[in-house]
Amino acid sequence: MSGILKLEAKNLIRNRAALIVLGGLFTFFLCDWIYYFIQVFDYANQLFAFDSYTVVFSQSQKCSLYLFFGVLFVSYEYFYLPQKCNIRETLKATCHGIRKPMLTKVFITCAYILVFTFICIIFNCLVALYFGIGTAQFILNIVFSCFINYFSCSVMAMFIGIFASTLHKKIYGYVVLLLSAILFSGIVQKIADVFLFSAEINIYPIAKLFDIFPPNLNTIFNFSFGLSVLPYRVFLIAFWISFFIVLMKVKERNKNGKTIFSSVVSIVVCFSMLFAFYMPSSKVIRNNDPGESNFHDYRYYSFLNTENEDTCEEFNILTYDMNLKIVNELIADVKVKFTKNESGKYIFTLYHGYKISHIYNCYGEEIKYKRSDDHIYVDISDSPPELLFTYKGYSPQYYSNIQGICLPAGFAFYPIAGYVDLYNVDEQCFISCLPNTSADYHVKVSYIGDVFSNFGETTKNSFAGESNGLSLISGFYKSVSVNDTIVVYPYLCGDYKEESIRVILNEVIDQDAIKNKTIIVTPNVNQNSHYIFADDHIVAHGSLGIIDDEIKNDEGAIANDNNR
Amino acid sequence: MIIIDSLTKSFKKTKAVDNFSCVFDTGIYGILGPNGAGKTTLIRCIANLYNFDSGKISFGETGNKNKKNSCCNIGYLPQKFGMFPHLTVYEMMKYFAIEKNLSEKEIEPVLDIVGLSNKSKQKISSLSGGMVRRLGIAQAIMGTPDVILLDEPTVGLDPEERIKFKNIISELKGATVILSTHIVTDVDDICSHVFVMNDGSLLFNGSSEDLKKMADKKVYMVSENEKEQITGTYIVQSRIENNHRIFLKILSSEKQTFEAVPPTLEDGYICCLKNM
Repeated sequence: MSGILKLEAKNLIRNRAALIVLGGLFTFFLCDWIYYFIQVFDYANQLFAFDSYTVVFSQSQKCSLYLFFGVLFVSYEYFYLPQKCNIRETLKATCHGIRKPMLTKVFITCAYILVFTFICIIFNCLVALYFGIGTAQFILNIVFSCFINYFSCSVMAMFIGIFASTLHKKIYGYVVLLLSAILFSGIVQKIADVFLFSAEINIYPIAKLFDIFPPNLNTIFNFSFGLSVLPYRVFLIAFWISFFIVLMKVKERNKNGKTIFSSVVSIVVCFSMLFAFYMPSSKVIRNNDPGESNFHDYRYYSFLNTENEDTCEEFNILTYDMNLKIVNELIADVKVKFTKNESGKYIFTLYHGYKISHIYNCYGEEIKYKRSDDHIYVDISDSPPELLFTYKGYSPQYYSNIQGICLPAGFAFYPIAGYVDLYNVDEQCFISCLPNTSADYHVKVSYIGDVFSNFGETTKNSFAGESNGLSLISGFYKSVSVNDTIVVYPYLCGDYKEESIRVILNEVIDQDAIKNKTIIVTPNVNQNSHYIFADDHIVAHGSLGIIDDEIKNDEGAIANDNNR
Repeated sequence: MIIIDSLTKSFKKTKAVDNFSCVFDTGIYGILGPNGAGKTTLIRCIANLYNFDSGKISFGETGNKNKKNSCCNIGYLPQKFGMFPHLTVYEMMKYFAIEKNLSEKEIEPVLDIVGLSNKSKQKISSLSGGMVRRLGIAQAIMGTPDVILLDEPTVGLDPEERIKFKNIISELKGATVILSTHIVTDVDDICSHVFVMNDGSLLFNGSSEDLKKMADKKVYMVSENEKEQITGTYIVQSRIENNHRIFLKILSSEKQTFEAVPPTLEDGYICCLKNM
């Protein structure tokens, strides 16, 4: 194998066009990274240093697109070489046929893609280590992200190049390459942005169809979430790789039993990956699509008719028993015990993104209910005031997926008593829906990572306590105890080092206001709303320092109570 | 030995090889036929590059039908042959040696045979067309295969290269060499046995002499002035100028008044094709 490996490597290296493209790419990346390195170190001495490396991490992932283009064209020329040189037929008649040279070429292509991937990993790790955020967790995030954006996407480009090289005429091959370059570049999203901002024409529903083309670089670096390595991105790339393998199998002339079997397997894998990609899941996407991310809820609630606010007899929730499972989305079994009212009719509020599967009464009987947007109407005059809600879903802003959780108190990710408005259209933000009364919480979260909550942990990812709200977060978090206050903070953010947190808590914030409380710092996903004050904890969206101002501002504290 | 029994290969509705049967023993065989006769398809079937519709191809005593393991003993030089331009001659031969599971020691002897030992460190891109062809023969004969398939090997070669090629082929001993061509003189010089194909079918199977005899007493040399005396249908094989007089070499199945001349292999080939 090593003999043919060296010879095929020579074939690549001695090819002037391939050398120019790969050499050019390498030079470009080097210059790009050096430029950002300088920017990073320049910023390091400035006040808002924490901003600098977010650019580095995001930008380095976006550069993977250039590697994609480079590999696309180099792969085509490299794999087309036997056909171009009229050597393919001779090789096919030998013992190993065309398979050994092909596998060798695949190996060599993957090897140089790996080189680029490792350089990107090393670069990002150096930046992370320099800024003191090079924990094992984040390094792993960098590695996975580089493998998705650089390695997997470029391997996909290789398969496109291989397929294009099997086409009879070179012009067809170039058409496939050009089409792939356009479709996979994400240019459709840019065109949609232009239409929206210049002519206020929303073509995102059409642009959304092109989400099927990776690498989906419309994710941002988020201090709590890191770089997106969500499974749907891997499924999508796997779909395209198996799709092009299927196309190559279909094109094969001499089909035998083995070929047919491998074709069937490829087709099954292809459709499975496509199905997995389109399964509902919580994605952390930041783009200008009015139907997604920040804008989704604004559009949703803008068109909602909230004039006729329903009411029911007041009741309070006494206990929550929650079994939560978070993989692609939140899957919940929430048992709720509440005070009884005379009518037997109750209204609960649950964010509309969570779809109810069933509601059972205390006897285990499924009961009928009515769901209207965020509100659930039940009539259980025949049974005691206890219900089991089973539901699943996600919110575009308050994400819950395999990589991170951002479910703060004040957001209705579990049923809240009464008819509560969740969103303020004028302010374009969610309103805290914390009730006035406390409840007993018993929460068990099945999750791959460590979950932080305002409650104490009884066993791993299981919590219990009493409060008027539950917060669950996970991701790149650490906790520190300062005096009697626990602060859970995103350690990737340069603003948050233990020393600076201690300074803020000791010297800035009023001690009585935060004593024996937990402060949870979440990503600033809910613009215009920076904090939530629950009985036992404070949720700060984005900044710790701002809590001090709001504690001093009584009006602000009242305004951020529940809005009933 | 190669035994081909009722081989049929179609491409969509066209039968490229139609119920072809023959036996190739040790020696040099020529397959003659016009373009589209099915020669290349037949060669590719033997080289296991195609799955054929029906029939059987057996190698030696193993009786393998379409088995891959038989291909390890086959040297193949296709009609369109090229090599990687960026590799040297030695590197290219090494590439083929690896593909054929052969040792590097097999390279130097074959380069000697084809007269390219002194070019081993030169890049392929610096070789002439004839040298590339010779290198093609070198890779085909490397490892002394039992079967050597040569598809239109002299196409594009100048007369000197063609002579060199014929000399190399005629010195191959102990193998079954199948040479497919539409150039009759190639077959005439080196092949002991000839097959003639047309439209996928086998028209003739026999020695060169037997093929020549098919045109016996059918070839005439006629002065151009006497052209009107020719009776019946005829084919003009060639025009020859001799002492400022033009002579036509004609093929006619009808007896003519002119004196018949000894036929060549080409004459016999044309008679076979035209069913004269």
